[in-house]
This record gives sequence, structure tokens and C-alpha cells, in this order.
Amino acid sequence: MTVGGGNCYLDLTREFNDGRVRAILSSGQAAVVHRIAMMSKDGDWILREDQEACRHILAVLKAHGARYRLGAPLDVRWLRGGWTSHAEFALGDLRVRTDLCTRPPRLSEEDLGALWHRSEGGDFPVVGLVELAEIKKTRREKDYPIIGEIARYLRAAALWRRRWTGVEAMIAGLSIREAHEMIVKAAEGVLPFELSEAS
Amino acid sequence: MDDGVLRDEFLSEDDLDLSSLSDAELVAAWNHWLRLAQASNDADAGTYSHGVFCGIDPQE
Repeated sequence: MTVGGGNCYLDLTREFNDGRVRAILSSGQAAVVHRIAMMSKDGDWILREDQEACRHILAVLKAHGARYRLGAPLDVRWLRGGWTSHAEFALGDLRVRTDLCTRPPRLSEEDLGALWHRSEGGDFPVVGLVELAEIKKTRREKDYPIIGEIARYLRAAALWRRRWTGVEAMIAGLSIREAHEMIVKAAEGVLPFELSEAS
Repeated sequence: MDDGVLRDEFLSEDDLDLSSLSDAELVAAWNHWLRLAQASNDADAGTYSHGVFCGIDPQE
């Protein structure tokens, strides 16, 4: 797939992948790349689950003046547990949001492996139509277990949510890189890395 | 079309057949759509549309 530039989500995807494939554009903006529909103003990416990828993404976000939103720290300990990390910045008159994960819903390890293999083969790193259809299933009766899974995450994040206002005040004015260190410390012991059976 | 005649133009699914656009037209339409979508920024400032925090409002 040949994809040009000139759009914030395409450009950001290239910045995330400078020197190495680390991020695959997903969800709503992937639907635009596949010319299906324009349906979301936020950006979603599936990331490589390693610390180098997290450091690079944080550096790109810092360069854009991004700030953390409520979510998990961009750290593999939480990402491998299925958590998502969220940031936001202004680009001209646009509010750009980045929703980041390494374990997208409904994609198997085999699906993900094939997706990374394809992306590293030179194609623009974007989820394919089949994977996109799987990821976007959220409102059908058969997907109620997934909605229940989100409820489990929200229960596990209850204390983190209550503390977030204070955390947000603590990191106000800091770069996302500086804020990251503080958020990691604040989240340790409060936001579990993985859901327990009882969550 | 820039022929000096004012027209109402909408970016509905019927009006915007993405598959027929050139790459440059797609990016232009995409950027235009994103700029229009900023109108709801105040309304969705606290909401999450993706991920496991989907549907929550941190202010609640």
C-alpha cells in the first residue's frame, strides 16, 4: 500500500516508526487509509511491546508537547496486561489524541505476528481490513464478553481513577517524559499490571 | 468547483466516495474532516473512545 504524507496521523505514524517499525495505525484512522470511512478524530496505534518502542514513542510525543491523559503509563509492564495508554497534544487547530496498546482486543498472537511481519515488509504500517473488522466489533451481542472485559479493567482501575486528579495536578507543566517517571511511580501498587481472576 | 457560485457542500457518505479520490484528495478530505470534527472538542474533552478506559469520564 502506498500512502503519502500531509496528514497528522500518517505523519505521526512515520515519526513513531523512524528507524524501526514500532507502531501500526489502527481503528478509525486505519479505516480512512483503507478508504472505508472517516469516523474518528482520535488516533490508535498497536505498539511493539518493548521498552525501546515505549521510549521512542514518548520522545516523539514529548517533541509534540503531548500530555498524559488518564490511562496506564506507557510501560510494557502495564501494556502486556492489556492496558491502554493515552496522550493528547495540539497541532495547529487540531486536537490530536493518541490511544496506544500492544494487545488489541480480539487479535490472536498469530494475527499480531502476521501484522508485524507485513508491516516490516515495507507496507505502510496499518491494520488490515480483516483485523480492523475484528477490532471494531464492540456492539454486537456476541461481543458482550469483551464489554465485560472492559468493565473488569475499569474496576481494577478504580483507585487509579480516584487518584488521577491529584496525579494530573502533580504533572501539570511537565513534559510527558518528565511526567512519565512520576506517573510510573504513582501507578505502581495502585494500578495492577495485570487483571487478577477476581477483578 | 470554484466558479464563483456558492453551493452547500456536505461530507456525508453519499457525497464522499473515498475510494474514488486520488491520494492527494483523500488527504485533503481527511484533514478537512478532522478540522470540522474539532467542533465537538469541548463536549468530548473528558471522554475516551478507545481502549480499556472507553466510556469513562475522569471528572465523574
